[in-house]
Amino acid sequence: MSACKVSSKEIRQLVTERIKTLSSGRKISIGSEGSFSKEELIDHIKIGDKVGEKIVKVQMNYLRSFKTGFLKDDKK
Amino acid sequence: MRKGSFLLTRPNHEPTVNYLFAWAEKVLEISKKKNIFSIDLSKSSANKKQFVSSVKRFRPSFIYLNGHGSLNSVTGFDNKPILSFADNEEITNDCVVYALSCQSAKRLGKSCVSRGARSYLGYNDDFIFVFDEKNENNPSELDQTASYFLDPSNDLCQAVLEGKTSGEAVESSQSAFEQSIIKFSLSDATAEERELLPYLLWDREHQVCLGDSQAKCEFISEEEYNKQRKTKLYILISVLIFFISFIFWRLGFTPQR
Repeated sequence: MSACKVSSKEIRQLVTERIKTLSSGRKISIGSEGSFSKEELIDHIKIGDKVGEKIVKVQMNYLRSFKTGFLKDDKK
Repeated sequence: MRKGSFLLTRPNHEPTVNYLFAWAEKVLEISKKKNIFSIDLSKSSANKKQFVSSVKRFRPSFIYLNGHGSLNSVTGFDNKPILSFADNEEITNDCVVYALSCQSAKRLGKSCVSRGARSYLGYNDDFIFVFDEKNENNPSELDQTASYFLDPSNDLCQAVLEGKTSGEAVESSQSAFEQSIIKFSLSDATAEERELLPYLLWDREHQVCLGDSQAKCEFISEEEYNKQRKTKLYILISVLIFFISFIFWRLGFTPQR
């Protein structure tokens, strides 16, 4: 069975879909980059700038943790 | 172990740091309840000049920095650096430092430890938090969403103020993050709770303790500090009187040629 390679475009699409489900009225503060609503984050992901890349990294870190386990005990 | 004061910096010039400012207030209340001599460099006082002079004057054993950060610096008011790589890290000598800021543990923290900081607690990547937009201009403990991120940070500070080791302090913060992560992973978690998981996980994974994990702080009270100052002043006056007396004695008793 060959491994299915996911393109960065598909990853961005996946993260965008996840961000779309973020509750309205919430913002995400990413350090000195500023605070962003979900609509703004989606724009940044689309552009692929520093903020967009960061949010993709955070979301993918979470999704990958399902494989490795995200509780501290899972990692022992 | 030397007893020292507690020094915190908390600028308030824009929304993100306003949240840190509000939560640091709670830490300050804890330190005051414990009768710890606390120096609060808040608002525009959170600048490099006042930071450096306050550290030299009050010799804190615990420094708590709130502000934006990068690999090379932690900033104060108007995002101007107050602690920077290859600049003034030696100011943290013999201190436990906690920086609630992005990335600073990655380079600046290591440099502080190599220049004498007992431990440097912080984040080796961005510190990310979610908050309710309606509270953006008035952050307070009423913002339950932000509290899931900022309360664990306060737990770390509280542990240090209670005399726990740096390792234990980070562990206490990690446990607080972990509790939310477990709670929001359960099947009865709401969608609003579940969507916080990626960010809670991120902050927990990037929180680090550099240097001596066994380092802990002992604190002086304001009364003790004032007593020490008075004692130093008395010693200085006594030495001065001695020298003046000596000079008079020499003038009076040295035979003239």
